[in-house]
Amino acid sequence: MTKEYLELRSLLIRLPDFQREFQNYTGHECKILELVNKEHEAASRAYLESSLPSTASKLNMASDNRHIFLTPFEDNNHTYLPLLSVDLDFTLAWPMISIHLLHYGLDKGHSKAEKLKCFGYRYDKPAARVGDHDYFHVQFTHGTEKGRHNNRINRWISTKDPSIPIDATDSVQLFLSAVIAVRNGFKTRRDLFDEWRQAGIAINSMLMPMAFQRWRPASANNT
Amino acid sequence: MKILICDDTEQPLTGLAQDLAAMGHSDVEVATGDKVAKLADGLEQRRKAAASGNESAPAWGESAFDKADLVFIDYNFVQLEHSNGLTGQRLAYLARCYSAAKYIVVLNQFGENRFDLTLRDHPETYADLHLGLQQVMNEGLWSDREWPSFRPWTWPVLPEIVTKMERAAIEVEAALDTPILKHLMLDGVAGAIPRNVKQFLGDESVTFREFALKSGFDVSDKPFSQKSIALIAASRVAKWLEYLILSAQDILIDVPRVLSRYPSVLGEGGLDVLENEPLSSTKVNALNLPAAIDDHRYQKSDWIRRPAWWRSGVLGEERLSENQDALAPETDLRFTEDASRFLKSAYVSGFVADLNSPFVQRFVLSERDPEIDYQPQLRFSL
Repeated sequence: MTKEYLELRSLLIRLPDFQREFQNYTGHECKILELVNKEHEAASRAYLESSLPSTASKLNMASDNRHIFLTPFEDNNHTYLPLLSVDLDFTLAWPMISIHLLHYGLDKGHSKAEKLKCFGYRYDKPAARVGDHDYFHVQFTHGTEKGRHNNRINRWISTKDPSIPIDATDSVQLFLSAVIAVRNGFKTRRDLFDEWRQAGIAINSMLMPMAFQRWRPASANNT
Repeated sequence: MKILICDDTEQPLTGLAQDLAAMGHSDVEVATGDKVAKLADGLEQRRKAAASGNESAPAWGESAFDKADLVFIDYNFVQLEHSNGLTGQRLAYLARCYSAAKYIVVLNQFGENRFDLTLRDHPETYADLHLGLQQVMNEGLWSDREWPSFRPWTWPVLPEIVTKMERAAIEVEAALDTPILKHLMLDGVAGAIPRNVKQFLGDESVTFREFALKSGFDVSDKPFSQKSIALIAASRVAKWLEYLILSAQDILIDVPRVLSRYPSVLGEGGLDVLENEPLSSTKVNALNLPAAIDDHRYQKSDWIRRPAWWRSGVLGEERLSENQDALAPETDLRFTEDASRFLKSAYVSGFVADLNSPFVQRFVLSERDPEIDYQPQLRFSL
């Protein structure tokens, strides 16, 4: 468990280093940043280092309203700004982790707050070892804090279904799944792994057990 | 190599002259007290003459600075009787803009024996290099052999860098009106250079001449000799390239980053064969890196202190086995920026460099010499 916590900590605290700095945002990215930053605070490496001691502990980024502002990207005539936050409690016998993502989007022709939209989803480790929800999964959310609805997110979206199984058997793999899923078009997955590797993290051994990494077509003849 | 040492008092830099002579550098001139004040005054006269156009000043080539390949300037001139507010930094400015001095080292501006954990140095200053007095005789500054256990990776080998700077200035003389990024082959990756790194140059199309005239001189100052423009541009742009581009390791990468990514190029032993081996140029040249790496070498080698390669080119190189198999074997070795060698992770401490780059997590020795001041301490990882 300590190893899992330390690996997760080392991945998480370095993640802000790999994102585009605010001062290097381009025109429309600055506009969406201005709007999103009114509602959420950015979590820096310093915040994460001080919030996550090297002994197993708790972290509640979502309830602190602190998020890692991932590198923005463009798609579908929108500028998107994804935010990632992690709630964890490794002081429990069955350590808990939830990874929240909010994808803010702003139509490229607009800059007003009314046009800011969002969708949210959360990666969960199963809360119990048995039951119908006893698998690592991701599902839609209405926000990052329990009981508080993010007004930018459509209410009709079910937060129960789908509950999609995730390629993870521990919190490190769950975290990697969440980060790898956000493809911003500026960096390849190899770039991301290279950044962690150069930071001295044994990323290969963390990725090795994951199916997405091991999967390869057997051969052209078998297809 | 002609060396000029400037200090307010006879000691301790005169001792340095003796040490240099023992090392084989006998062409050393020491200017202290009134002599240094007089030399500085000569450069001031050039500055004033250039600004007003009607004052007399020593002709270009007549100052001791003009003849110096390597200049050491002590930052602190408190004991100078007629200093007129002269500091080492001011003298470095005058020497860079109003003399033909090739390479300028300012001593003790940031401490007598300091390791800079930001890894970005001070690109805005006119010194080509900042050192502490206690560091000047470090063998690793003077030779490619016998690097001691403390030998910062960003340091140049001084006799080599003087020659490189001379060649870079000659290049600039022939390309004064060429955009800097184009000349340095960086125009194709201009979009990947962060805004706050590009701003040092001004804009993407700025030429060497424009850059030297706009940001080389203090506001009302003008060039005394057109010959100074190439020297100013070469010095300041080389520093920008070294500390803001190469240090970041996201556009250009140096040999530790190449080897830690692609240990297969080292043969069967992989990176382990380099454990605790200082990565001097001789060592690196002896590695005989394969064409798969060397085809991506950055060609403007006179502008940087150590060899570099295009990161995107190397990462996209299909001939490298690590690029075909994403999960290459992992190493426990970390590159130490203060010792210029790979060491096992148990012997290193992490720190966060102050660079515009994702690659800010770096390492230094965990057992550090208490005489060396690692600053800012806040940069050590928690």
